[in-house]
Amino acid sequence: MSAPGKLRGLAALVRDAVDAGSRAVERVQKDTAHRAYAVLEQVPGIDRAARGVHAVHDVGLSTVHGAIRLVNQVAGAAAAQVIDLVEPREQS
Amino acid sequence: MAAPVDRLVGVLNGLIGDHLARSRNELATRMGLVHRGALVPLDRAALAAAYPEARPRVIVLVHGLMGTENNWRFADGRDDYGAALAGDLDATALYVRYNTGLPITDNGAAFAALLEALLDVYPVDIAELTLVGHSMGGLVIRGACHAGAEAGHRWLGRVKRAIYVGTPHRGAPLERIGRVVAGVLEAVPDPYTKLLAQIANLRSDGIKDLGDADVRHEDRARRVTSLALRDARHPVPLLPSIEHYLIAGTIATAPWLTALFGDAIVPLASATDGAARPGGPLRPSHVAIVPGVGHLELAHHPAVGEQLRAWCRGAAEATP
Repeated sequence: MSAPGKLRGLAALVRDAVDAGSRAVERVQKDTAHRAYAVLEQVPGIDRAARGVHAVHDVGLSTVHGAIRLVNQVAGAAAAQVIDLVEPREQS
Repeated sequence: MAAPVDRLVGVLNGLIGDHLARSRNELATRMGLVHRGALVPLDRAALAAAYPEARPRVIVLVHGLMGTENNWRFADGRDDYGAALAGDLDATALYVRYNTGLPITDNGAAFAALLEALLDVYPVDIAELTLVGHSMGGLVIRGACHAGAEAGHRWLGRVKRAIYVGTPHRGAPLERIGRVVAGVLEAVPDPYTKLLAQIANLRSDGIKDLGDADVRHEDRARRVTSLALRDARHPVPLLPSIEHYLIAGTIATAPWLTALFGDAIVPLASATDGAARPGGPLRPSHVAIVPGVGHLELAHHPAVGEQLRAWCRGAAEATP
């Protein structure tokens, strides 16, 4: 395995780790928040508002983590491009 | 410099090699023969160039979990079991490197295919094969024998002996404990413990297979959550056509500690496969216990090397 190959592999691995980590944290944050919202959504008078805030919270959370994953994908692709550009120079 | 990086890649493959292979990551190791740190293409010209003095007797060494061929080197870095046995038997030592995170079944099948291809491209006719496996490498050999027998491979007829060094023939309790812990964490209705369970379950298929010494897909499907060693009768018995030799290490000398902890990773009962149980294919003289040697050390310990040489010399002298 060539050195650029190892670098490409490492970059892909970091990208996978950030992606999987972001998904896992998003899931935990939603599940944790769901517990509090589930209680509030049972309280008469604030139940509708709680459901609304819960939905907004989940959308906001998904947007933030989606943005993290998008930036991660773009950065990973850019890193791969840079490694590909460097590779021919190393071989020559 | 290459060896430390290769070692790191080996560890990474052992931990998450199944993910690396699935995601086509370039860090995923492909199974192959390695000579002086580089993969040797499996063709006659490349093998002839790498092994200009190839002998008809061949010793193939298969490393263990998270390892590379470097694990075989003695502490002084100069020699290894392959070189010592090659000198004794007038043989050529070949070293296999593979992705230890893949299911043992897959590695066994790939190893069988590699040996079958080797018969056609090795520079001289292979008259005799000796297979040496450390830890998971021993199970890969067992898996290869099973796959080779099912496929009617020719190489099986050339195998004189198989030597298993610290191989968990009846499973590895540490993995079983991991399985139980992950199961408990998963069962707790809490997002954080579930996250911990998911992290625990990231360990590779290869590691999971060690729990029950699974070398077939059907056995992997029947896996249960239990701390006990698997039944003494492995679903894939050792082939009677091969001379099998087993070496176990022990970190302690007290009998109860020895029985409990074995070489710190593999218990004695697992590494010795029940030690020549009645009706089993092993003779007592084919099982050796090396006191004071831990699991990782078994791959490069002078006392183990001497035992391997004694077995191979004895068998060679007994051969007309």
